[in-house]
Amino acid sequence: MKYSGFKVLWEGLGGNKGWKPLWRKPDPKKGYDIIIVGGGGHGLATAYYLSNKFDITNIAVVEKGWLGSGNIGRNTTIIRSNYLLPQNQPFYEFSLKLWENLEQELNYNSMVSQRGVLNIFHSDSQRDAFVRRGNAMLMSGADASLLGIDALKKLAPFLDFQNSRFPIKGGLWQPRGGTVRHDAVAWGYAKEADSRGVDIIENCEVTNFLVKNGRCYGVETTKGIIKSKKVGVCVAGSSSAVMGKVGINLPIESHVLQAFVSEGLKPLIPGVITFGAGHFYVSQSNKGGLVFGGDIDGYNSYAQRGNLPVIEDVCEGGVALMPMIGRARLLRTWGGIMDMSMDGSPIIDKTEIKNLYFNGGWCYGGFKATPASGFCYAHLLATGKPHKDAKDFLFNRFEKGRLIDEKGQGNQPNLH
Amino acid sequence: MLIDHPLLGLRDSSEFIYMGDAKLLNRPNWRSQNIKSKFVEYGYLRKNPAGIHKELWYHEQGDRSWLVVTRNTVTHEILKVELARNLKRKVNAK
Amino acid sequence: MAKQVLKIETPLNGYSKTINKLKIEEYKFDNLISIAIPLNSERKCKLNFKKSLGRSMPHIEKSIIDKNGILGFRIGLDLLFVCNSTDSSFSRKTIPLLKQAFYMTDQTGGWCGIRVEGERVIEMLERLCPLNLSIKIFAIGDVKRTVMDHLNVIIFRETEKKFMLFSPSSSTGSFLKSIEACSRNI
Repeated sequence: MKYSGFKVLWEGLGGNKGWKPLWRKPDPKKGYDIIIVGGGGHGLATAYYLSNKFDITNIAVVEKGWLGSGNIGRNTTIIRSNYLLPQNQPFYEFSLKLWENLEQELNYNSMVSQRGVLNIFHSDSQRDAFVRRGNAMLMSGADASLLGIDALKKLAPFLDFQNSRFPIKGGLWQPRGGTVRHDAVAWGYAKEADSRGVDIIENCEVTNFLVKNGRCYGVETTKGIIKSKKVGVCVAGSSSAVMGKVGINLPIESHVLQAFVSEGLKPLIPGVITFGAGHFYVSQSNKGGLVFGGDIDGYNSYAQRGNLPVIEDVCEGGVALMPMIGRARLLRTWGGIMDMSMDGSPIIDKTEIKNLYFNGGWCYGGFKATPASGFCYAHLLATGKPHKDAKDFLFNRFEKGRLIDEKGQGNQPNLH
Repeated sequence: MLIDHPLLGLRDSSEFIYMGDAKLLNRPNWRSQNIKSKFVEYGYLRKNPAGIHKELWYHEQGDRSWLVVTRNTVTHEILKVELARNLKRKVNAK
Repeated sequence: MAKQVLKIETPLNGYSKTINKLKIEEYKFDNLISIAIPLNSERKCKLNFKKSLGRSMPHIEKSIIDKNGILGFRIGLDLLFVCNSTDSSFSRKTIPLLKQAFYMTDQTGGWCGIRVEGERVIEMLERLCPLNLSIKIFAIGDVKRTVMDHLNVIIFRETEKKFMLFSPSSSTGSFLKSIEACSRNI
């Protein structure tokens, strides 16, 4: 189905009866060239790039729930490429470039809104660190500028500039960062992958892998055995549970991250704003609700819900940064399960079992990575070689001592 | 979450610091065979189960004891709480 | 030349205020010393404690209070504090005696005591303190270390409606602000 302004008008006149479902509901075939386990953002993006850029179309995406029911439907929708390390930053900039063309490419309105991302700093040493980060961004071809107090007062006059404990000294500003309508990303990728013949099989849980002589040749599912030349796992918070079926222990802990939405307010917050002295970030959705978040709860969890101390902590951070939101009421909170890796960076790699591939360890930064993660994973699955912007996201970096530790916290997943 | 401390009774989890899988109590002997891969496993690899998990909590804002908490990661239900020093002494005595 | 006398200046400068009928005042003490039990010396320390202070070593989360105030308390299996406000022989006699068995660190300048008292003290503390304040769980004479407003606090129950809060002296100004705010809001 093609979307256009004319089509919207035409359907409006005809009572909107001509819209069709975006993807089929096929039963699994006996075998495929590639099976993607996990029908979330990254899995669907992988299927899309495989079918549209690498011309492999005999693919199935198997998903245990409904399409996009995991973290692609639970995140705070921010896109940005403001990383520091040379192993990370080019990858995220590649992702941001893919975001910029995503709607045209998918012919689907995913509301990519480059309204800017602002990271506020509160001390001289933090400014130095942000200058360094800004330079790293510029070197990767991304955009960045340093804003002083005056520019900040113009951009966000409601910040607490009088705060004596955490004085605001300025901010690092990335105008090309912003927000995206998260569900629409999954739907758009699903639509285009499906139109190239990819089978998206929902409510089909992988219960085991078919492995013989160290080679994977398919999966056992709740809808029967499906054979495949290659299997790519891409299941975020469930990574350890799924890979555990073939006895692979991952450098990953699953943690719960909570997100929050306030009641709807008039337009107030320009872009995305982050607090440098605590952990709090906020943007305003198109419906007017303030969408915000902070730290993970900090203990292993698969519960998809968090606890009160973190809610209190995040709200305290928000009020310290912008006291005015103290009067907004909290409408909803929810939790998602993050695959927190040991160094805070992801893995896109082969495994010790031949033809079984793994993509995970996105910590709580997976949403912005969706297009590049899909592209690089598709590249690995199609060619057998890592994409040049994801060449360091390998399993063996832990034993080789080549950690990609953006925060410098060591092997303590709840601190990344 | 309330953690039923063996000495102090029910205490709020916000008094504690979380350190992850209790397997960290069993540091490999540096003189043993294949020590490199054992330390990679010790330092970086985790079972990370969805279900029963034995894990280390440090009562930093309390009596400064290390606890081994057995908890269900799917429901957050706490099933058992032990003093890590007692467990470790038992292991060492064997 | 006139005789020079050095006067101790306490972290809150002798603060005292009543908000919503809650009396909030700084508690002054001359010594606060942490004493730790070395590995496998529990027995020796018990005897030494009795000899030094004339009282049995308290159990975990219990304190010794006499008419002059708090004398000692225990917050961990191997960690206690001793304090004193009047006894002049404390530094001269008691401390050297304790040193024979315990590891000791003087923390007098590290802490500030704030005493809160009043009919609605529980309502105020419930806004700050994650502990169960019921008198069945937290009895008179009990002491617990916990976290309030992200700060490390040691809390004593002196009577049903009277508590003593020890917080680190470097951040005690912020902590006092929290207490004042909670007292106003009950």
